[in-house]
Amino acid sequence: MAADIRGCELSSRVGRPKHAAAPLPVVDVSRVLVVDDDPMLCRFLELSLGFHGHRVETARDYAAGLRAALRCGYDVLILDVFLPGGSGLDILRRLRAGPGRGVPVIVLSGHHQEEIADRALDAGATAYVGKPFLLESLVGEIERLTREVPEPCGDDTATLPTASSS
Amino acid sequence: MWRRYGDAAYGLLVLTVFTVEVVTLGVLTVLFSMGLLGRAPGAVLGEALIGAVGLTGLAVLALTLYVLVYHGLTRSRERHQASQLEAWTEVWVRALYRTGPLPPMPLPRPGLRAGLEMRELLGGEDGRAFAGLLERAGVGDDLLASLRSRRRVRRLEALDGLGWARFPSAFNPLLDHVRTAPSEVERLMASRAAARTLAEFPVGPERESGAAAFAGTLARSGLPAGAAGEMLLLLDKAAPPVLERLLAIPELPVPLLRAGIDAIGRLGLVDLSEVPAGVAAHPDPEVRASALRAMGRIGTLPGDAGESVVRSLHDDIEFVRVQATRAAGLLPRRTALPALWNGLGDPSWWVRRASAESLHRLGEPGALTLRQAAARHPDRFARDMAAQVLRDAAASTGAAGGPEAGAA
Repeated sequence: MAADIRGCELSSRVGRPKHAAAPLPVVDVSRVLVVDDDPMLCRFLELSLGFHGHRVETARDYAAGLRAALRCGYDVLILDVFLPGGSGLDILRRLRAGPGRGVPVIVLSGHHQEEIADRALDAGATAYVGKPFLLESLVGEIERLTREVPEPCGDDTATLPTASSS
Repeated sequence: MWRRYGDAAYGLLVLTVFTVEVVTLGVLTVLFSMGLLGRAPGAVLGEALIGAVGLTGLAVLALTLYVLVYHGLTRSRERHQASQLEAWTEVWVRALYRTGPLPPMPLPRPGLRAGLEMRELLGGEDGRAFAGLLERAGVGDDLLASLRSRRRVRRLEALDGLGWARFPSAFNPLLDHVRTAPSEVERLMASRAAARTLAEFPVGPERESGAAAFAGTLARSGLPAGAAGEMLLLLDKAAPPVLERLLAIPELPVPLLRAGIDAIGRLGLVDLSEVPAGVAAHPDPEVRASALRAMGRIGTLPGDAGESVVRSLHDDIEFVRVQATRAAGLLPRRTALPALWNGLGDPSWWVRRASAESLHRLGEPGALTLRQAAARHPDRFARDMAAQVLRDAAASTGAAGGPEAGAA
């Protein structure tokens, strides 16, 4: 993995980081949408994923999250399940039924229940992460998902019928 | 704090308005009564009425304005608190990535809250590393100092914070607090924080000694069984060493014994399955029921626990028989099927239901027994129960299948 996560204090596998104040090397810049009503979590992901070179935007409720998700400007979505005004799984279903069929979606939830994980995966989530989480794992998951070439969001040309020549 | 003062002020305003209205209506009543007796001129009555209507209008206006201002101020404060939380999150993240300094102590409330929420959010090694950062910033010392405060609110806030932070260095002071705090609430919160902290200890001698200290403290804490049970579940992976020591204490009070047995079942601790088996014949029926429930949850019957289960199927106490019936599904088929067949004829509805459900969980042999029971069991209520469970199972299978099943 290109990102020198070992330079980060998060991992206890190393002692002091070798270059404490140096910025982390930028990897493939991904555009990430985080939909969660927790202001602390949104800011944390915005900054920490930003330190790993990702561009992060946030939405704090169902309506804003749905609008942003359907705009199709993101490489990865991180959705909370329980949102003010609706469910993150509903955003996921609408995305999968519409222009965002191939966009990787990570469902993030504080409720450690298998049932919620199953519902998330049934709704079309690419991955499910429970809180608390290992930041390194989340970053790794984002980078893995964006390295695999997903179906571009909003590109329906492959499935549209071609014009008949006769 | 804002809501508490705001709600109190609203209560006072409402009381004032009601008092003014009651007095106004009283005055009106007196004046109009005098008017009826011809002792009050019409003009006076008119003025009094206008005054009363005016006062009522002012009261409604005051209440409406207060509600609007209250909600407006509340939303403004919430937005301000959210922006402070975001700003402090940035401070902590920069400190974590060493692109910014550690914040100086003492921390304002939003700073502490942001730090503790981040600690809660990060798991495993990330979380422990961040806890180290918080300790270096002085958060641990500050919270422990607050634990010695004379003000109860500050002590409770410190205990809550230590529960979130889970600093290893706070473990022993928390146990001391469990032993010495006069109020049960503080002992409860300190136990909770200590359990969460011990859960973070890596496997090793420190965790073993911590487990011994925690078990001894919990046994003498005087906490009710439900609270003790909660602590044991909060221990997570540190529960087994604590339970081993706790349940080895001679003459352990029965509520703690039940809490320990329940925790073994809820956590599915197969390695400790001998413990509930050993108390399945306890004189206390609640302990017997806990033991049987635990064995059912663990999913295996150690050694000769099967005999205890079979004996318990004939227990005098209904709830013990219910748990025994549920555990009976773990017996060898040749023992389980006839035992559950007999259970279908139990005088208790709950035992009959548990027997039928246990048979259903046994797969095809159990389903066959249920169908036979529905047709031929000598007890009418047993036939009804078997048929009901078969119907319920068919209905839930059909509901789970749904249209997708048809399409598949």
